[in-house]
Amino acid sequence: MNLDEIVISGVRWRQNSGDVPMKIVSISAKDVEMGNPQTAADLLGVSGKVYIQKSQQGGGSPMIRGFAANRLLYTVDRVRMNTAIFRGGNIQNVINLDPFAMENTEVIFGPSSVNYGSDAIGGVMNFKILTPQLSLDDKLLVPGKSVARYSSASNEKTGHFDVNIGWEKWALLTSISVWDYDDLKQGSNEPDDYLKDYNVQRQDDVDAVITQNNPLLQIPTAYTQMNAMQKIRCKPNEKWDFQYGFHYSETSPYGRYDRHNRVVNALPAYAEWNYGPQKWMMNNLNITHKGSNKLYDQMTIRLAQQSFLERRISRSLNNNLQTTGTENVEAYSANIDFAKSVGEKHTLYYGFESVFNDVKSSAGTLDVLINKSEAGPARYPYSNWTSVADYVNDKYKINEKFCIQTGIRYNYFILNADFSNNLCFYPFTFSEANISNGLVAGSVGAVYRRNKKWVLSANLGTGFRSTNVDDIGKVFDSEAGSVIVPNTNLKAENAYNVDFGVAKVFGDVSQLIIPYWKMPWFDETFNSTA
Amino acid sequence: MLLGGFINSYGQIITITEKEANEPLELVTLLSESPKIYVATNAKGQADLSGFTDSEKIAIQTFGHKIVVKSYAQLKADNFKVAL
Repeated sequence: MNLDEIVISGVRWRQNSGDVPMKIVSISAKDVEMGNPQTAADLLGVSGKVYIQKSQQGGGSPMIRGFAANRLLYTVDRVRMNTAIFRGGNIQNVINLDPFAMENTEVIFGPSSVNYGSDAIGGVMNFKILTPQLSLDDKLLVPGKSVARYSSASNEKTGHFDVNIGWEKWALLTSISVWDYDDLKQGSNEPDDYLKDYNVQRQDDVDAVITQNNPLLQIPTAYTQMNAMQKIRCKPNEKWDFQYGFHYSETSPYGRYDRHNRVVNALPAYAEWNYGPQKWMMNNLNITHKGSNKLYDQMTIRLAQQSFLERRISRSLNNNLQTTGTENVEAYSANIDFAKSVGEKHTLYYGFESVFNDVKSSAGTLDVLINKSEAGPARYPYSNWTSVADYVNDKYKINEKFCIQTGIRYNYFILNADFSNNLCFYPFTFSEANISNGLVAGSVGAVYRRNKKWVLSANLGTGFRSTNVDDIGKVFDSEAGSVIVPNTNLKAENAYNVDFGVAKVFGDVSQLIIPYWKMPWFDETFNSTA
Repeated sequence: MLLGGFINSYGQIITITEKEANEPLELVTLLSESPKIYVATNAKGQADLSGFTDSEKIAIQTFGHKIVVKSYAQLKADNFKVAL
């Protein structure tokens, strides 16, 4: 048992956790190997540190301290994964990450907007993907692993392999994973609420409600997924390290089981309700330089481009009109992070961030009987969301026992939404909305290490969530008699949080951690409902 | 000259193994606060310590093992071999 571990999440640089006042937990590759999770959502869940909500097999929405969805932040190789259409309700973007390709995962509990900006209210999940390894002797370094898995609950057939080829200055890493899940069979001792003894099948242009013999079988929840990753690393000398990563993930359509469970007049409400295909792609260039100059000891530049595709397909029972909503987000980000020692006791961690999201949303209806389609109201306006920020943290290590960390961030947001794509469907009194505002986040914390067995910590931090496209632009029927309409006057959410922690190690085998946290103020953003 | 250049190109390599199994340990982290340097071992349990020559404290850590803190000089005296 250690009270110390090396964590990267605190100030975006590696530090001994004994200097970090925030609560951070690590999920190592060994943990993943032992837990053998099916998805990245399950990876978080089996750690026992994050609660996962699932509406269907192809789901998994993390919850930390009661917050979920767009009040949590995801990063992949330290690149922000949250987009401007992350909604408040549960989301399952995390399943696009490959648990077999994880080198390490860190979870920060509580607000961390100083270092991570918008959405870092309930917590931050940092996923570190495998790093290409260089050979440090005169032989080629070729490690790798392969996994084949079958699980009976969903007749799952999964395969994975990754291989590293490392030379002295160059390294390549390839990872491929494929999942094939059949309909999930729930346990016989689980709650009856999810039992269903029917499913809907399309037969000769008619929706047929078929009785199924086994009500434990959750039909339709079957889906497939593939993930591919390629990284290239070049380290020409001790000062420079270049890494490029390509990530691609795609699911098949997957049934939304909670909607398939709905009944209207003793009949299933829906003949179809599918998410997906859900796609995510990222190109990421990471450049690290060790400098020892006036500006920095180390610098990291991260440039990333991500493409997101989400689709919702639904059709009511005995209705020939199938509606499809498609959301595309192109996300571009640039980060520059610096670490600089100042004197014997201070270390500055500072940086700049710029993020741009371009949202394209479309929808249509298809008459499945005559195969005729027409445009329908889109879920979102054409929009773009920009975030520009700078931040600075100071670590003041007074002595070996006592360390103080303070930080501040200024973030400016711009959101432009063009509603003209929906004006022919809804009589809005406006055609565009433009919101911009500046937000400040701060934190101050301290760690007192009495000895190797005792650590006390306290942290006061703020978090915020800027207004995003989902907040101001969403138009859809959420339930009968209720329509969500745009609210262009929304303000950002802010949260203030205080954490205290006591950790004590007993012998070498047990550890007692007593955390206490309170969020005395959280002003929430609401959509308008009419 | 040629041999010297060859050795230098790989820097000073430390090898970290699992004490009981005597197997190389991958993804062991080595962190120095002054100077600020971080490396991780590769699949052969090797890491390049070239930048650590002035380090008084190098924290060596991995999952399931106690942290070991040593100076560069101590690691050198141990022939750059550590068993966790």
